[in-house]
Amino acid sequence: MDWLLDLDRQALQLINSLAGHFPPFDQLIMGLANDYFMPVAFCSALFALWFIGGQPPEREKRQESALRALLGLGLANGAVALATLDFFRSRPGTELPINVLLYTPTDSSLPSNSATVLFAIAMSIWLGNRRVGSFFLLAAALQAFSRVYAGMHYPLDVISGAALGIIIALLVRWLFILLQPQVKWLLSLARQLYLA
Amino acid sequence: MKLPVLYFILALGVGTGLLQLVFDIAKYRYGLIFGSTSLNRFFSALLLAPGVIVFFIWNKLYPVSVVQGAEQSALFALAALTAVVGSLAISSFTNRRCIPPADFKGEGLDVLRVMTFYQAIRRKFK
Repeated sequence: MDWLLDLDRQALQLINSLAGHFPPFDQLIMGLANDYFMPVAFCSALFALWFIGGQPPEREKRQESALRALLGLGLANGAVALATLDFFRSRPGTELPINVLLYTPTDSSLPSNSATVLFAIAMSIWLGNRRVGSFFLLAAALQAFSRVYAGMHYPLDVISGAALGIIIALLVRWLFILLQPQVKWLLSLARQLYLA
Repeated sequence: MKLPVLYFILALGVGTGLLQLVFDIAKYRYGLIFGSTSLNRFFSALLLAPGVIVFFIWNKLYPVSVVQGAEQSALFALAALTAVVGSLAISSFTNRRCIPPADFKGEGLDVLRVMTFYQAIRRKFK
């Protein structure tokens, strides 16, 4: 286990050593790594996915993906809260002499909350629409990289967060297959109320 | 201003601006707050811009205090819901002079192409 943690620290130091050499790139990374921009962008994209037009069958598919992603988001938040009840890993900024671009949060570093949530959303979308989902996955990976670059997480934190998010998305898909009649009923109700 | 309140206001702006933009793209004419497309796009940009900018630099502005993950999700959901209800209510009011066709058979959001949300709901429950 120690070799893995050593490797994790070395990978962090390698990625983080890039920080501070090119200020405009650092500014971009700081925007992507911050706690709000990407989560809000993902939630806004889900919102747009629900309301964007198109033919009814295609629209229903998109709305089902948005519903799956929404449930994934809720479960991801819950899973991280559960995982960190009895487990705590310090942030890299408190253990290593690294370049912290934003700030050092006080909650557990592993698993990364933002990586879990963003990958749960991205994977849920990917399972419904590969083209749009690939874009979401790419954005989630970019955010995970930027959190490591900014010195807020170890690589293992974001990798475990991404894995947890993907597992949650698969679980939600399985749940939606089981509850397909109820999902259809919910979408039909929303359509009858002119909201879908 | 308390951070959760600021978050809610900015998210509400982003939600409303985005919804208006999406309604414009989807041609849901009677879901738009303004009759003019260019005015509507300008209004959307005006609502979206503060949120996009502030969310991008939030941690630089407030490096210590944070709105936690679950709280953030709940606040965004509330803001999105408020944006939908607000947009549909205001657009129903600003487009109240619209005369809906008598024989429209469409369902769902498509109804916003020919009548306001209020007119559709009133017709449904008459």
